[in-house]
Amino acid sequence: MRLSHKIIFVTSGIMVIMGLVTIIAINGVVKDTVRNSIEQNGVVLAETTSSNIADQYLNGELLTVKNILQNQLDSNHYLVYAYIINKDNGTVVDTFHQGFPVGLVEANPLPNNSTYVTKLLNVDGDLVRDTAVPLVGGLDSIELHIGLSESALLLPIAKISWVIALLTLIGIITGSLAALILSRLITRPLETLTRQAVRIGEGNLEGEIQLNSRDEVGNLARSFNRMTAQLRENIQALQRRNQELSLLSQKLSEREELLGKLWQQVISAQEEERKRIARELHDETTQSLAAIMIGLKTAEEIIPSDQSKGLHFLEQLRNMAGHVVKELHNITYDLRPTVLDDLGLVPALRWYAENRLSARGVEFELEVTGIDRRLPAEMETTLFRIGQEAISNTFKHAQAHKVVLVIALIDNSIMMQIKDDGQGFVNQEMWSTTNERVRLGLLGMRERVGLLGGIIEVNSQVGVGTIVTVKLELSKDTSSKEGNWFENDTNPLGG
Amino acid sequence: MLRKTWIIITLLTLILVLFASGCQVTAPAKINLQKTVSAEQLLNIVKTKADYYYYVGFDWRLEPSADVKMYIPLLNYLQRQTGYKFRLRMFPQDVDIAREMGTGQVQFSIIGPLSMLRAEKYGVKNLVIGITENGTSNYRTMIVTQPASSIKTIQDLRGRTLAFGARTSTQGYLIPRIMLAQASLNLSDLASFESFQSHADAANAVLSGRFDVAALQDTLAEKLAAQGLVKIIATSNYYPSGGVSVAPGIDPAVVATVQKALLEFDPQGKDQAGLYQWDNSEMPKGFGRIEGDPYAIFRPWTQNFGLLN
Repeated sequence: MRLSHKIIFVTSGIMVIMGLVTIIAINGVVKDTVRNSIEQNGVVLAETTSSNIADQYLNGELLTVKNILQNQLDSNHYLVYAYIINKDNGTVVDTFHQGFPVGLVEANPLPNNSTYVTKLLNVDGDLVRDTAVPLVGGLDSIELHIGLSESALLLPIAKISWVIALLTLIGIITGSLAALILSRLITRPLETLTRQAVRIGEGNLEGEIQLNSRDEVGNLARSFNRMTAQLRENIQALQRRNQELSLLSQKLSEREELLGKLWQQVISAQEEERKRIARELHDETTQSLAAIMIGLKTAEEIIPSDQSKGLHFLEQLRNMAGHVVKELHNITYDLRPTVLDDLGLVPALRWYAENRLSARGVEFELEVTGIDRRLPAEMETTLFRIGQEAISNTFKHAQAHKVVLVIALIDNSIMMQIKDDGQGFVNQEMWSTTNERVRLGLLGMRERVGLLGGIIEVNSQVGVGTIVTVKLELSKDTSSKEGNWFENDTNPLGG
Repeated sequence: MLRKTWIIITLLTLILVLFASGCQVTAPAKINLQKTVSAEQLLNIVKTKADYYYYVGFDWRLEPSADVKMYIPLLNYLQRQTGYKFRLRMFPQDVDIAREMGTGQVQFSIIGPLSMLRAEKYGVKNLVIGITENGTSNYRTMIVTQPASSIKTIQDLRGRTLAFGARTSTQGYLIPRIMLAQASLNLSDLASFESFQSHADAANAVLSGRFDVAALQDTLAEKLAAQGLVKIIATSNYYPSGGVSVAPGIDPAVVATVQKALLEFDPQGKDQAGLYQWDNSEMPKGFGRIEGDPYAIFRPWTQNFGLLN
């Protein structure tokens, strides 16, 4: 059922019920009150009449009494009849012109010792309240009866009931019209809201509900518009986030791809390193050792015959063995310089830079600030490898004349910077360079720093040079263990 | 759906209850005014059976309705005491109550000595005699005039107008006639006279100036004099007061029971409650036994005045 129909039915129902209740109340309560009043007035009228005519009646002046009763009947329009009935002699004095109605004889007898009795009678279709009183108080044998027309007295109330019924009917009609208009006023905006809700349900968030009313429905419409706008913004924000996530996902994929290549590079480098070590061992050390073995065989054969020549030969073999030892030493140093483990980061980097750069005529400068203790091993390794990569890039690709290495420990934060005056490159092209080795080298540096939670910046300018800056934070635990770092080494600079 | 049905049922029930409460419980009896009854039929229907009640008559003393109100409590007392039912029977002023007793219309009557003497020929007997305010069974008559009147004694009544009580009244007529006779005055000596149906009417005749003097029962005359409405110019001797008499043919046991109840009646004591102006009656202190022939003193006067016929 539509809301408008419900409102009309409820309004009309209330009107009908209220009208019925009013009519019933008037017919019930008011009529009862009027009936009680009629009864009381009837008793008063009967007693007054009886006191006025008692003496005449008792003195036998029946005609006078009859005239008095008739006069009273003529002057009181509500009085239908009056009569006196005498049970002692069976006579009646009445106001009836056509004889005494037989139905009234025993209609409302006065009980003995009663002061009055009333009864409602239907006298020829007219409701009449018959009131009987003793003509004289205590004298039960002579009764005075008067009949008051209750219908005539209740006629105004009946008219009022009809008026109320008519007003109720008018109220139902006007109330229904009002309910119809009201329901239209209420349901139209609601229907608009419903249509908008359906549109939103279908995913269409465009458009607003145009309701300028300041009532509850207007507030609802404005709330609806705010909700729609908020949904729109949220969806747009979600779309933006989605795009960002897609971008991030793409970058992540690229990063994973680079990591994969890095791992391949690492494995490849490891194999290359093994090959190099094997080649060096085969080409140099093994050959030297084989020559030493042959020399020793020769010396063994020579010494019995020519001891001095044999000793000289042994001298040569000893030098050759020393050369082999030096080669082995270089191989192991290339794998991992022991100076890093033994003396720390700064001496290791100084050794590496001077060893590599000096051979190529590149000037090297080292600036150390605040490094008065050993750093954690993984941090030293990371910084050494990054420095190693940067220095290696400097003499391999940058064609620099000078390299400056700055290492500083400030407020629990360590900063390492490698600056060169090489040919440099364009910053934007750094991570997209086609030189796979360089790109993987940079990526390897970033991964190493990332594992320790640090940051790495590479700034380069063509013709000016390149600056690689690494920043690492010492953890609190590391700080608290500060006193233990140099248990076995009191000189972190290796000096 | 079920909920709506319940709501509708509840509303209809409420409306029906309200309608029911506002409607008449029983339909009123129908009366057809065209369907009438003859006087004879009406008499047969209405008239109470004669043997159902003992009817009690009385001499008019004041207004008829006042007399009724005064005697009804006595009848109620008798009903309570004896178990018999009594009812007052009213007669117009000109009806002879003595004859009514003789014809059986009345079984008991509250009458004065004159009515009693008139009823003797019908076999009516005295049952009890009233005790007046002075504690005896005697009362008087007083002749009164307006306070400013020049009449001072009974001798001054010659050529004046006199208002009597009813001709059957002892105090209102018989004793005043005795007083006039004792003063050597005849009715013809008066300018005029008239018998009124009650002491109250006679008093009104003087108070209104229509008559110069009125012969009243002593209690009423003294009350009016005390109020300054009249002055008393003559007072009679004490004469036997009235009482209650019984008609012939009544069961002696009933008579004895009624007599006993009347003798036990104590209007100023235990039976005072419910009485109406009993002090205005001729027996304000109840009833006494009949001793001898108390009304013998009246016989010659009634015969002389021709009041027994």
